[in-house]
Amino acid sequence: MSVENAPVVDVDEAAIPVEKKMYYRFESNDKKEFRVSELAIQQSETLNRLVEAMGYTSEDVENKPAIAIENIDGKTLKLVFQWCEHHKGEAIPVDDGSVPKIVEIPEFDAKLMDIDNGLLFKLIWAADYLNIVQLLNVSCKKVANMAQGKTPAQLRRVYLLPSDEEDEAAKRAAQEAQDPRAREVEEEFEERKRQGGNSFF
Amino acid sequence: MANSFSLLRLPNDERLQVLRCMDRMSLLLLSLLSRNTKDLVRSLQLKPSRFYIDFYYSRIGFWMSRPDLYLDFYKEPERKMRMLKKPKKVWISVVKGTIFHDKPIEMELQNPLELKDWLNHIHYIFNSRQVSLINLSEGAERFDLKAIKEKLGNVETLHFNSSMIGFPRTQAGAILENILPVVKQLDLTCNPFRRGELCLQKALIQNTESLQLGFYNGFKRFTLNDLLISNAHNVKLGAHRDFKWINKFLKLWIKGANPRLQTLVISHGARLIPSEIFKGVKVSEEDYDGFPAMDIKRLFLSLTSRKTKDLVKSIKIKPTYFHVTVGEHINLQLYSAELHFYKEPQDNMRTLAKPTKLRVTAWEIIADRHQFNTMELPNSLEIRDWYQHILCILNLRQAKQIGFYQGWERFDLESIKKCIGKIHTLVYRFVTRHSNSKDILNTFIPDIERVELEWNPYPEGDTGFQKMMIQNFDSLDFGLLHLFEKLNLEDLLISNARYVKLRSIQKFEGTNQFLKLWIKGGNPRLRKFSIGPIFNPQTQLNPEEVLKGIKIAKEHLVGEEIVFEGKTYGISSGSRAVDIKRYDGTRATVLFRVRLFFDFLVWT
Repeated sequence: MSVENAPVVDVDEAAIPVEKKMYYRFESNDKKEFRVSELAIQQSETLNRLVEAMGYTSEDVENKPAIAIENIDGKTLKLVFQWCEHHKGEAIPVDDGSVPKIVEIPEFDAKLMDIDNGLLFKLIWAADYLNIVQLLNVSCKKVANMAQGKTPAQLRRVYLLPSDEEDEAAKRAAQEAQDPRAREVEEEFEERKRQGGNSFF
Repeated sequence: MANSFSLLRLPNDERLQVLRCMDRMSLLLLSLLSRNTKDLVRSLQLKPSRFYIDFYYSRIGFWMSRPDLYLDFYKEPERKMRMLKKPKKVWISVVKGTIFHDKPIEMELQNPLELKDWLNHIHYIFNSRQVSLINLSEGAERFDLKAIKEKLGNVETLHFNSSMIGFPRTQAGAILENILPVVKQLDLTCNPFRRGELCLQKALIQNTESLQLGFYNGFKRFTLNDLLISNAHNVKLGAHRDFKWINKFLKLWIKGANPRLQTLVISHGARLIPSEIFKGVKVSEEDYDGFPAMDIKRLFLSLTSRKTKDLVKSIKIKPTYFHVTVGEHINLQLYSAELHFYKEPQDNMRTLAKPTKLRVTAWEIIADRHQFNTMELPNSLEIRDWYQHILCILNLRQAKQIGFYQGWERFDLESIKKCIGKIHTLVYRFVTRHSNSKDILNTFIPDIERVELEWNPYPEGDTGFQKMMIQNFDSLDFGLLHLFEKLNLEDLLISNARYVKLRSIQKFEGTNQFLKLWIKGGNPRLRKFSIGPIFNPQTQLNPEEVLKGIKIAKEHLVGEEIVFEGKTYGISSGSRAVDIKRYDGTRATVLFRVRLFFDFLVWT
């Protein structure tokens, strides 16, 4: 199932259960608004602390402006909140530091992460920023799975890993970009060395 | 690029998270790509528990356990392999957590590194310093020893499979001469040298930490002189012969021989006779720990007067064993003596009237043989007085266990209970169900902590078994000879015991459901539940079925060791161990040991 067909997070009033649960409003950096249940928010340590600190009442949630999440766009945030709603109430795993880390990707998560790698990159970044432990686990596992059965050459292509030479070339280019005189100074130094000078100065 | 992911653009923490989720082969291959990726893998702080190099069947294997990663070189013979020239290919394989998964995953690659560079690379990324073991086995002679030494550097242990057929003896000497100086421990499977050859002696005088010589199959032509010249801290010797010189060695050690020696272990194959070993050697009382502690002489001495009773009590004999058994007669069992009452039936024995006679069986070691002596004596004490007397001189409050055997019904249970009072363990051992058996349990259950039942004494439909299960026992042990029937999931769920062990021919159904209910809070007192050994393949538990639908918090790897309450559970190939978590965060390990044993260990 693609993201477009995944369950929509925005909840209309009729869908809200009879006992009044709090639904917070959040806004992405491209001004898209989301309503997320209090229980789902608990999956994110960052957002949970934020709403606790704000101490909003149900009226505040409706009357005050939506809470802005400046660093994440609407497309990514939609995935994040879909994940939180689906996994609301679940225990947050504790990292025991083991390697390899045993992470299973549930079917729902696998479908949710059936996205292009650019969006997956943003999702990992958002999971880390919002401190959603299990979402970070499954999204990192998805990236780790890309390495399975690959030869070194394939790994280099999959993860866009430069060789040592390319690394050094990039480093030099970065230095030059930062200081246009660096190359000239380096050349002058090489020239003096060729002429037998022991010291640059 | 559509299918690419820019790993290095991820912030550091997330990048490490991704790496932590990767399998070991991917990590190794990733580390080969650049200095940057090599450092990334190193930063995971992976450290194999063992790293050893195996020379076998004309190839070389680099083996790492935890993570289980294997590199094979020269799998296809090459021209200059003798001198360990850069191999053309490398075969990398990983073994998943257990053999219940797929076969090992193997990848064949063009080899990018010299062997020495591989070694350095592995040391670097896995933060290791030294090869823990070099194993020289059949085919090792095809490699040049100097090249091995030069390329591999220092190692901890040299395991030399010297028993292999066709290994040239001259090579054996050369191996010891060349490689031994760089190892801390030497393990020789047998003595490859003839009498008169000095190769072994040259090895023995090295300052090695440990020597293991033919520990499993014996080590021929090893003499006292060999041991005396040894400079090792620890020596383990295998033997299938007499070690008469041990006595002489002890006397020489007392005088100052082998000052570096810390431990000398001789395998069970040796015929060691304590009386010969210690002949003429001054031994203290403590040195005899493990020998008959409460012998019959001490018991009789303690009976002669109050003073002698106190005297025996004051030597603080280790109460290794004190059991009461009730069968056709009543026995009080000590380590080396047994007191039998009512060997001949008498009046009122049902209510434990004072026995008229006492039969004593005692054993002692005389000239390396167990000698049994039986005597019959007139008796002047009640059984209760005997029992109390023994408790007193052994400084005990109660006997360790009471066992009921065939014929117990001739004695009155209440009288027995009155006689011995509280007791720790109740053993009920019958090969057939007995109609009055449940009376034993009903009488003793309120005061005991541990129950061992060979047979379920309650008939089907009787709720007595369930009533017993809800008692706050410390431990329940069912089916001593695999005969126990009818322990089902409901029984286990109502159990309040901390330790439950089931050895049954019947398959325990509902293990999966039990785990799911435990996660939700079932059996909160339980510390350990074990099933096995399960010899019948039909009744063995399938890990996949047992763990179906259960969220696994951690998968333990083959080679790991789990230490639970002082007992070590090794996860060998063919075993599987996973951690699961209860709703409140309590962790438990579910362990399948080669399908023969199932253990559920709760960590508190």
